[in-house]
Amino acid sequence: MTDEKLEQLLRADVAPARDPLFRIAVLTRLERRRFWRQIAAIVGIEAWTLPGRFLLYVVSCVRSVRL
Amino acid sequence: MTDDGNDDGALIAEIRNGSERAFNVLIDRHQQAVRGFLRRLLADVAEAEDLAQETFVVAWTHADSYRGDASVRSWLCAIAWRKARSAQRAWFRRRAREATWATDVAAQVEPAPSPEAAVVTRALDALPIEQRAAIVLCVIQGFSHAEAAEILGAPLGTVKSHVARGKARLLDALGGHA
Repeated sequence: MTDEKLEQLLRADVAPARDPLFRIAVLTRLERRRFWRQIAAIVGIEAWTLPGRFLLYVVSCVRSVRL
Repeated sequence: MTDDGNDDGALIAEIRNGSERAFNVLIDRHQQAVRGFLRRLLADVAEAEDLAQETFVVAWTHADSYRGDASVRSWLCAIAWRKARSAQRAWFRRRAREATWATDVAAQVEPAPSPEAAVVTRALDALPIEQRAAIVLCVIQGFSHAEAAEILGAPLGTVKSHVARGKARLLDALGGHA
C-alpha cells in the first residue's frame, strides 16, 4: 500500500454528521452547572450566616426570659 | 487549515461578553471537528460525545484563555486533547483498580464505510494515542504540523515524528491489504 492510498483511506473516514441535539446537550449541561453553582452559593451564604443568626436568636431568647 | 478565522475571533469576543447566540454559532461550526477528533482518539463513542460537550462547556467558561494566536478550531481541539488525555489516564487507573480487561469497546465503534476502511480504523485504533492524535489532526483534519504541535502541546519535531512513525506502523499493519 502506498502513502497516498493510506492518506486517501484515512480521509475517507468521514467526520460524524452534524447533530442538532449536540448544542442542546451542551447548553443543558451549562444550565445544570449554573444551577448547582447558585445552589452552592446559597448554601455557602447560609453556612456563613447561620451561626450569627442562631446567636442573635439565643440572645433574643435570653432577653425575653429576663424581661 | 480552512477556518473562518476572523469571524471566529469575533465570535469569541462576543462569547466573552456572554453572548449565547455567538456560542450557538461556535458549537454548530466546530462540533463535527471536535466530535470527530475525540471519536478517533477514544474507542468509546459515548465518552467521546461526553468529552466533546465538556470541551464546549470549557470554551464557554474559559473563553478568556483564547489568546488569538491560533485558530479557534485549534484551541477547541487543544481543550479536547487535554480532556481525552485525562480521560485515558482515568481509564487506565480504573482498569488497573478493577482489573477488568474485557471491555467490549469494539462493539461501540461505528461501522466503517468499507472493509478496507475498517482495517485502517482498526490499525489506527491500535496506535499509541499521541501518534493517533497526530495522524488524525494532520492527515484527516488537515491541520499543519505546527498547528498540531500547538494543539498537542508538543514540540514540532515530535509531532512530525509521530506522524511519520504512525504512518509507517499503519502501512506495516496494512501491508497485507494492498
